[in-house]
Amino acid sequence: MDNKILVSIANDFSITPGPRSKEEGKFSGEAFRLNILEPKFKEAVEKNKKLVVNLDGVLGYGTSFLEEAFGGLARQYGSEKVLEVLELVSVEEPYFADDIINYIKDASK
Amino acid sequence: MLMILLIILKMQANKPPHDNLLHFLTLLIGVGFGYLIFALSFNGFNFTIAKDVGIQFDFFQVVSLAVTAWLAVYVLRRLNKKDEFKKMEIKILADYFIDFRKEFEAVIKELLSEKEMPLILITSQMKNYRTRLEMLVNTAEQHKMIEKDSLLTSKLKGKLYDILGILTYTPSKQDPEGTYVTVKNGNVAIHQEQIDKTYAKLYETQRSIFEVIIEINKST
Repeated sequence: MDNKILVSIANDFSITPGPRSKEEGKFSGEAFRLNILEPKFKEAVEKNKKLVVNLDGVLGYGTSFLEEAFGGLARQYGSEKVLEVLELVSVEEPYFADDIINYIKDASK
Repeated sequence: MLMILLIILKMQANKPPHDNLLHFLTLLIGVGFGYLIFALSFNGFNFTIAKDVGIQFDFFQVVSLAVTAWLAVYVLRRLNKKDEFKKMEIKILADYFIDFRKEFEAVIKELLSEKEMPLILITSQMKNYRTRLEMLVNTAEQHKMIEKDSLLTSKLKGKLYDILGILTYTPSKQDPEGTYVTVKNGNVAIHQEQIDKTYAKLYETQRSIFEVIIEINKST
């Protein structure tokens, strides 16, 4: 547990993730990336730790939210680095982990 | 004795056919044994038709024959019961898929009838149906009704994901091309193009569900 930094979208951000950008509405993917994901990602890279993101506990995700949050992170730091540091956890919707990995890979294209 | 037999048979009339047959055979064997024991105990069981022709009962052969017959019926009955359970399981799961198809169609049509709605309404409904589909597919796989991670189920799951994408995806700043839904204040405005695309995907989804049901029925 020591070499991992944990982020829970439901507990640390919102149980109702919203649209892609801040202009589109509250609890956007952009807000999640800027306020939660990116600072924790940087911390994980600096301390050479894994960043574990728990996707469970929310009412549901829109595709834009996930693309903006994780794809946006990959556009900034590169897909390879993000895939190396990030670990996705979901018991409720395990298929979203695959979707997110695709967003991260597609971000570099 | 015949009367007793008839009464017992009448009492068994409402039971399943396999039960009747087993009871009838057991009764017949019982009556046969009773008669044999009765005849042997009086030491007068030697029936001769002509001088050189006689009917002789070998007690052990009769027992062996009776036990074999009883076992045959018992095994047949057990196998049929197992088959019935499997058929019942398949029917229950196929019915769940049919209910899923009907409910999903109704919900999507209702969502599409609104030109504008909260984004969370779409995402929560889609989470509900994607999770339910996952559970149904897992159950079918566990009971070996469909192959694990088959192309058929992957296609079906993909269709639901596509619908979620059509109804919730907005362009990124890096990739503003294409036509998408519009989101403002957390509310989604669905345009005619997205409605048409969603309907097309919905019909593909129904077809995929139908194919999965056929596959499940083949597993008997």
